[in-house]
Amino acid sequence: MADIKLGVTLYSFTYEYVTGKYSLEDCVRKAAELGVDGYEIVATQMIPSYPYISDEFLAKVSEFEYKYGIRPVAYGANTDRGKLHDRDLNDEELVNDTIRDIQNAHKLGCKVVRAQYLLSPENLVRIAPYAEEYDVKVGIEIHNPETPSTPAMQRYLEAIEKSGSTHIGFVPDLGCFATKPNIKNYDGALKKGANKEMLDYAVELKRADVPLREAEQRLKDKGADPHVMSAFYDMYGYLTFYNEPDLDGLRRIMPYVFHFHGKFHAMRNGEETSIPYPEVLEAIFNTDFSGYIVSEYEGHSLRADGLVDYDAFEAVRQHLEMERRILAELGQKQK
Amino acid sequence: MAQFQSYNKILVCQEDGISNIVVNGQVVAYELKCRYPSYRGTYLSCIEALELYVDGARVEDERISLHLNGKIFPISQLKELFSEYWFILDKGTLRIWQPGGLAEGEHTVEIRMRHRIPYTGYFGEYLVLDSRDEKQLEVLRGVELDG
Repeated sequence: MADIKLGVTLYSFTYEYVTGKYSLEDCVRKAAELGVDGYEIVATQMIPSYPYISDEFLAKVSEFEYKYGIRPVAYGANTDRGKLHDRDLNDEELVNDTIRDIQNAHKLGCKVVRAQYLLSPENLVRIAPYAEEYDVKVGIEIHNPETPSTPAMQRYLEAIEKSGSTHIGFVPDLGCFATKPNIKNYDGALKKGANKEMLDYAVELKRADVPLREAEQRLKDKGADPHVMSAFYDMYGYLTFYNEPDLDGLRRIMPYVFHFHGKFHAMRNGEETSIPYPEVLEAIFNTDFSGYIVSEYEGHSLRADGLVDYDAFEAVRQHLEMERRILAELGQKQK
Repeated sequence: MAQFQSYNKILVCQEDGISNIVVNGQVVAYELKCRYPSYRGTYLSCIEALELYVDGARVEDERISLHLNGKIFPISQLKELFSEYWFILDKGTLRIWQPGGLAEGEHTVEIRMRHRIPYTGYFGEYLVLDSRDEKQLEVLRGVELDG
C-alpha cells in the first residue's frame, strides 16, 4: 500500500499571483488553509532571484513555515534549452543548469525536482551522481500527449534502469490519463461558436486514433470552422485524451516515480471532468509509492471565460476533497 | 496555447503612467513601465522583438532603453542577455529619449513583443509568440524625475 501525501503546487494560484491578487505569502497561506502537507514551487515563476536562490528568499520561506506550518516539498524546474537566440544549449550547459536546479531545491529543502523532456535521457543520467550527492530526486515530467508507455518515455525508462540510480525517474502529470475531451477545449470551443456536430466529429476521429494529418484533412474537407480546428489540434496535443488510461504503463514505471502532479481542469459534482481519478488513484494506491500528489489547477482562464463559477482556491479545495474521499474509500476496502 | 497568451494584458502598466524626466531644468525623456506577459519570468535573450508605439507612431528602438535588474540595456542588446532574468512580478522601465517629453494628458501606449518560449521545441521549433497590449496612460504631474 502506498504512502500518499497531498500537496498543492502554488502554480494553481497563477492567475491570482500574476495579477497581484495573491502575494507569495498569500499563496502559501491559502495552501495551508487547504490542510495540505506541503507545496510545490515553480522556480521560474516565484523566485525573484531566479535562477539562483537568495538568502532573503530562504528566510521568507522559513518565515512562512513558522507562520503557516508548510514548506516547499518539490521544485518545478524548467528545462529552458531554447534560451539562447542563435543555438540550443549544449549538453554541458543543460547539465550545468540542472545541477543548479538541484542545488536550489536542496537549499529549499525539496526532495524532488521536476525536470522537462528537453533534458535528454543521456543528460538525465549525467546528473544522477549530483542528484545522489544532494539527495534530491530528479524526475522527468510525463505530460500530455506523452504517457508512460509512449516511445519517448520508454527511452527514459531504459536509461534510468540501465543507470541503476535511485535518484532519477519520473514525475507523471495525471493529465496524461485523461479519457475525455478537456472542458476548456470542448465547452470553450462551443462557447466561441464552434459547430457542435463538427466538434463531436473531431472527438470521434481522436477516439478512433486516426492519425493527425489524415484527421486534419477529413475535418477540412468537411469545412470545419477555425474553433473546431483549434480544439482539434489541442486534442492531439497537450490536451489530448485516450480511450483507456495508460495505467499498465504507470505500474511499469512506478519504481521510478517520485512525485505526481495532480493535474485538473474543472470539477463538477465532486469529480474531475476529464481525468478518471478513482481509477488512477487506485492504481497508485496499490503500489509502494511514497510521496506527494500535488493538486495542479490548470483552469486559470475558465472562470473568465464563463465556463466555471469558482476561483482557484475553491477549485483546489474540491480537488483535494475528491482525492481524500477516494483515498479513504480505498483505505476502507483494504481493511 | 491559451496559457501563454492569457497575460498579455500585463504588458503595459497603466497605473504607473508616464513620467517626464527633467535634467538641469529641461525635460529630456519620458518613462513608462512594462511587465513580461506570461505566467513565469524569462531570460531577456528570449525577447526577439520589443516595439513601442505612442499615439500610433512607432518609437525608434535607438531612442529606447530598458531598465531592469538595476541595469540599463538598449533594445538591440536584449537577444544577447541570457544571464539577465526578468522576474514575472518585476516592472521594467522603458526610457525614451525625447526633448520635451510627452505633453500633459493621456497618450495611447502600445507594446508589441515577440518572444520565444524556451522549454518548448520538442522537434526543434520553439514556440514564438506575438504579444501586444495597448492602454491609455496619463502623464503624471508633479513626479518629474531629475536624472
